Amino acid sequence: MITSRLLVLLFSLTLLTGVGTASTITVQSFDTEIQQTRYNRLIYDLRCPVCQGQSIGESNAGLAKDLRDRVRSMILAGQSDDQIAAYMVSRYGEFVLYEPPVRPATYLLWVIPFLVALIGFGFTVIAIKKRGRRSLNNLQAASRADETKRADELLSSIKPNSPIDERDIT
Amino acid sequence: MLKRLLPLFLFVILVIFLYVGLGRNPRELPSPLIDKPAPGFVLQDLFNPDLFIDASVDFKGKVALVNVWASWCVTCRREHPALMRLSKEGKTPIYGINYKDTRQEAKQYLAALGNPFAKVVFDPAGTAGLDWGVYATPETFIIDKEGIIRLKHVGNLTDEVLNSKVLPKLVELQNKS
Repeated sequence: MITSRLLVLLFSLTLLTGVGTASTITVQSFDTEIQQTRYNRLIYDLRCPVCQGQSIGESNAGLAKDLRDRVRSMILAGQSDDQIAAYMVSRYGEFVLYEPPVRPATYLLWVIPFLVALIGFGFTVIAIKKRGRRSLNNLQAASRADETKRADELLSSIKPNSPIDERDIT
Repeated sequence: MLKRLLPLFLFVILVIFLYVGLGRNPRELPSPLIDKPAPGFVLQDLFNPDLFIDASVDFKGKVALVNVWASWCVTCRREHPALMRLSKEGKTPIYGINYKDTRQEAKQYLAALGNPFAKVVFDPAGTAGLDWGVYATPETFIIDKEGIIRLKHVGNLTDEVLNSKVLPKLVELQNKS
């Protein structure tokens, strides 16, 4: 009973913190909750042109505030997310999109990470194969008869209770 | 031999890329408005609230400079003499967009430093600025006779910028007719 109550309390507390962080900069009112969610997502998906490296949701710059207001009014006017993104791109360029679109000009951008991962994987495979072959060769060499014989001789040359043995035990 | 030189080769390529990157200004974003019609607006004249300026009508007809400025903008103050010089030459009209300012302060600024603008639009809310993709004042646009944006410069109009970028473009566009 107490634990379930505690869980409910904890859960509602996490809800509170979520709302708290989302509204540190802007408290905006919307007609529906969906609009609010879209707003919260959009302002973190759009990059601020002045304070580069921050989204318009994070930035305190005057321009970021203007853009947030514009996003809000466009949402209220019934514009779709794509329309809002296109509006921003037509003014500030594709720079404002945190996720660049896949186009011939950006193919390289999208492909390079996978290419590098692939090359790295290739190198790893080659290295592992090389090492495997080397240890296999060692095994084969060791199994040669003369080697075994020599090993036996060496083993038998060690007498029990030899100084080495004693040192090993202590 | 080739295997040994490969890291050096890759390193040289990296250095070239980094060197080119050093010379570039990350604050200067390529404008999507280049070679597009200047975004229209109808806004009040700075000096006469009853007079409205329509960018699609009043900015057309001549190769012109459009300068986005504000009285609170320090760099605008620094580039102001360059604008004054250009306007004295009288070849190209300069239109001003007074961005997020107050009427009084903007007028005081022009009274003190001189007014190089043929027309000044009053844009206190920055709506025209938003449509023109303004993100850092001062910004200067060159529009051709048809009202199409041909060049954008963000930041101070230094002598170097004027001579290497702005003036050649103006001459090129003016000779085009």
